[in-house]
Amino acid sequence: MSWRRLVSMGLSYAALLLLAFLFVSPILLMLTGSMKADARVLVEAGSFRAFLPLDVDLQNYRDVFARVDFGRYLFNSLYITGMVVLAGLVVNSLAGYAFARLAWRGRRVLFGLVLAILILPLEAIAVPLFYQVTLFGWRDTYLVQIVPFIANAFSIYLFYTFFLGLPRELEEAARLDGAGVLRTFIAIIVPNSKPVFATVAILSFLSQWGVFLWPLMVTSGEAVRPLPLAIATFYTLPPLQWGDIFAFGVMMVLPILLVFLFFQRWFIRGVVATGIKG
Amino acid sequence: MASVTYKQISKRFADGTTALADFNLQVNDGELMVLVGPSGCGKSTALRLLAGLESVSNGELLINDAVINDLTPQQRNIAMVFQNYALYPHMSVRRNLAFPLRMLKLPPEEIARRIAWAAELLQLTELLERMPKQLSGGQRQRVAMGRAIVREPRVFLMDEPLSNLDAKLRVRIRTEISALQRHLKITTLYVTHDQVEAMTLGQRVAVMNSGRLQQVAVPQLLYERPANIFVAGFIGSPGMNVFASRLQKQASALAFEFAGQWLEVPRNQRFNPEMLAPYVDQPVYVGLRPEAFEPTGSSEAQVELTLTAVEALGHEQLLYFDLSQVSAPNMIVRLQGSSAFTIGDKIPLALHTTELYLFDKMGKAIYTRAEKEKR
Ligand SMILES: Nc1ncnc2c1ncn2[C@@H]1O[C@H](COP(=O)(O)OP(=O)(O)OP(=O)(O)O)[C@@H](O)[C@H]1O
Ligand SMILES: [Mg+2]
Repeated sequence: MSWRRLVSMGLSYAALLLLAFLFVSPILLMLTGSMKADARVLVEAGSFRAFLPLDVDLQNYRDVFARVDFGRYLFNSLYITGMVVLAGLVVNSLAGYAFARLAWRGRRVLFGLVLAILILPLEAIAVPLFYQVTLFGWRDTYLVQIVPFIANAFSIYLFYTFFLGLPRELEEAARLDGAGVLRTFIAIIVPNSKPVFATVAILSFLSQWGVFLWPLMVTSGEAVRPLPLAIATFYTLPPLQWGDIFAFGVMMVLPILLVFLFFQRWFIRGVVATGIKG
Repeated sequence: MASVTYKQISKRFADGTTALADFNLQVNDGELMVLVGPSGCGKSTALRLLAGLESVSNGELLINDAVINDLTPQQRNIAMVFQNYALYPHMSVRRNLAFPLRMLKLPPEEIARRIAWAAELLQLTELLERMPKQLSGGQRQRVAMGRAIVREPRVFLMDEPLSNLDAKLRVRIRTEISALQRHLKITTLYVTHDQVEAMTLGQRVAVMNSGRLQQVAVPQLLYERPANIFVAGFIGSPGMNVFASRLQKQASALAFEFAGQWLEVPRNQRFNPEMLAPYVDQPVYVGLRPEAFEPTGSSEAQVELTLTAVEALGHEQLLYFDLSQVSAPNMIVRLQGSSAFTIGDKIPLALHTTELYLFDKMGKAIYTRAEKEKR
C-alpha cells in the first residue's frame, strides 16, 4: 500500500470515528451517568469525564424502582406497543396488498386518501379524536392507546411498494395451483416479504414506544400509562435527579435495542431473488 | 379429456390496447398446439385468458363445450408453466410440488405418491429437498413442469418455457417436453416466438400476428401452403421473399414480373390459367423461398442481381441482395455448402419457378380449389 493511500485512509478513519462518537455520545453519557451519584453528574457535565464510567453504582436504578412502579409502566408500554405492532402488521399488510394487487372499485381514490393522511401529524387530529374516544367511553383504557394507531398510512405505503415489486407470476402460479386470494397472501406473499415486515415492525415499534401526547390526553393515573409519561414525572419537581433520569432512560432504550437486534437479520437478507430467474 | 375452444375471443385492456381480436381456435383433446408469432402479438394473452388470469372482453372460452368464461382460475383446473418458472422461492422442490396437491386437500399418502411419480418422470428425485435457488435453469424448468403435471390438470399451458435456457439445453428439453406430452396425453397449449421450436414441437401450429390468428395447420403445411404473406415470411429460416409484382398474359402462358424481367408462371397443381384469370393485369405479390434460387452460369440465368452481404453458417450460406420487397429489406438466397462470392458483384441466378407462390393484393395466398381444400 502506498504512503499516500495510508495517510488518506487514516484520515478518513479518523473522521468516521469522530462522527461515530458524535452519534454515540448521548447514549454513552446516559449509560455512564446512570451509574453516578447526582452531584457527580452535574459536576462532570462540562468535561470529558462525563463519558467515563467513574462510578459503578446501581443506586439510581434502585431509586427509579422506588419512585415509580416501573414494572407496571414497562408492561403497559410493551403491551400497547406490542399490540399496535402486531395488529398493524396484519391490517396494514392486507391493506397494502389490496392496494397493490387486487382490482376493486374506488381503489385509486382510497389510495389517494391514504397518501394524503401520510402527511397529517397526530397533533392535527388529536382534539377531534379525543372527543370521539370520549364519546366511546374509551378514556383510561389500553384500547384507546392501541386502536387509533393500528392502521398506519406510512406502513400501508411501505407494504404497497414492496408488494408491487414482487413478481406477479408467483401469485398467478398460486392462483392456478388452486389457492384463493387469502391463501395466496398467507402462503406465498408473506413468506417472501420478510424484509418489509421487519422494516414496518421496527419503525412502528420505534414511533409507538415514544408516544407522549396522546396517552397524556386520554389517560390519568399509572394503571394504563406507558413509560414516557413516567419519565416525565421525573422532570416536574426540582431538584432534578439526573442519575435517576439516566437510569430510567437506559431501561427504556433496552427493549428498542432488543427489537432491533431481533428483526435486523431480515433487513440484511434483502429481497427475494430466488426461484425467479432474471 | 379436454378440448379447448376460443370462440370469437377479443381482449381489450383497460388502457385501450387490443391484444386479441376475433380469435378463433379449436384445440383437440390430447393435442399439443403451439401458438407462435412475433413479440406483442397476443400469445401470452391467449394463454392468460384461458387460465383465468385475465377476463375475456368478448366471445366465449370453452372446455369440452362448457363455457368457462366466469370460472375462477381454481375452478378451471388448468396448469401453467411460466417463462420465469415462478417456483415458490421459500419452498423446497418437494413442497413446491406438493402445493397444488395440498390445495386439492388430497390425503398425505396420495400427495406423496404423486410427487414420487412426477419426480421419477422428470428425474427430480435427487433434488426434492433442494431450494429453488440451488437449482440450475434446466432443473428449475423441470420442477415447474412437475408442479404443473402432479395434479393432472385438464389443460397444460406453457408460456415460452425454454427461453431462459441456453441453446443446447433448449433442444434437449424440447424433445423431452414433446415425449412427456405424448406420454401423458394432456391437451397442451405451448407459446413460443421461435418458429423452429414451433415447427419441431407442434402437432399443429397456430400462427398469430397483431392479435389475430393467421393460420392453423400442421407444420409441414404451414411451410408448403402458407395462407398469407405474413405466414410465408414468418415460417422458414429465413422466411419467404415476397415482392410486389404484376401478372401479364403472354403468348404461351401467364408471366409475372420479377426484378425487371417477365418470367413464366408454371402450370402445376397449384396454378392454372383459369383460376388466375381474375388477377391478370392486377397488382399481386409473388413469393419465392430462399431455397428457390440457384447461382448458375450466365447463359441459363434468368436474373442478375448485385450481392450486398454474405453470411456463412458452415453447412450453408445466406446471400443478401438489395431488392425492395414486401416482407424484408433484403432478398435472401440460401445455398448449401460454401463457395466464394465477392460483395458488389452481379450474381447470375436461376429461379425454380415451380416453387412460386402468388398472393392477392390483400396478401392472401392464391391457390387452386383443390389446394385450398387440402388446407
Ligand atoms: N396488462 C396489460 N395492460 C395493457 N396492455 C397489455 C397488458 N398485457 C399485455 N398488453 C399488450 O397486449 C399485447 C399482447 O401482449 P402479449 O403479452 O399477449 O404478447 P406476446 O405475444 O405474449 O408477446 P411476447 O412474445 O413479447 O411475450 C401487447 O401489445 C401488450 O403490450
Ligand atoms: Mg408473452
